[in-house]
Amino acid sequence: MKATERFKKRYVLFRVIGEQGATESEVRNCVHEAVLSFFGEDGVSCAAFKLVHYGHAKKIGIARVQREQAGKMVACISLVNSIAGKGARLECVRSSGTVAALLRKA
Amino acid sequence: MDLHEGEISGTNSICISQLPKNFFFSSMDAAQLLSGAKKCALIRSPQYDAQEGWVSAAAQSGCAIVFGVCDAARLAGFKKAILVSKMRMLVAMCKKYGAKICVCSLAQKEYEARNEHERLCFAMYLGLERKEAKEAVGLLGKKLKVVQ
Repeated sequence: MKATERFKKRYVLFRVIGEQGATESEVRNCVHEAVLSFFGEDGVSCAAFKLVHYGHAKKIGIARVQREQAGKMVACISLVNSIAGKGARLECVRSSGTVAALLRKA
Repeated sequence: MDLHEGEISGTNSICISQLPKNFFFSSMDAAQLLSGAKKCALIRSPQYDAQEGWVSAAAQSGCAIVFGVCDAARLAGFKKAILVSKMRMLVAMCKKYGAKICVCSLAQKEYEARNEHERLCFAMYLGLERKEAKEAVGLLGKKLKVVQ
């Protein structure tokens, strides 16, 4: 496949911040529910969303998304105001074309 | 809506509690807005109702209409969708009449404050171009400098 025909993707690094801690499963569920309600089933499949990684120790996660939808993904993540009813939110820290670059600069 | 590496800023916006009292002008009356609002005042309408007379008066008086990320984030489901739809209509009306737009967090708690990039993406999601969105995001800082 030509480089120009490749699926263009971006990785968005986010972290969990807030007053009350949320468990790993709660954060994962929250991300999936937020993205599904924001984009819809069709939108999620078109945007090729995937929660690539979530590290509960550092409370940072990485979401993969189609490059054209990266801005919408940041808006979607920033519109999360509570996680499982607890006062916490997801903050977008950085976005990049590779996971390695994200983790290096995080 | 394209996103470039390294554009995400670590600067957080400030909470409402840190702002001076009566920082936002909240009258929905066009006549009152024309006579009472100071030049470059920020007008906040929590319902985000797009009224042509009001937006036109805001444009004439040089006021900026405030859009809060937290106003949308506090709601969920259908209510959130309706509010975002209202915001989009108001943004379109502001563009039509040339009224200024200010996108800020309107955070009640410290952790609710959105960084510059999140606000920029939200502004673009509401229908602003990148250049307009950057201006809308930077307007609150300019206004705060004037107040201080």
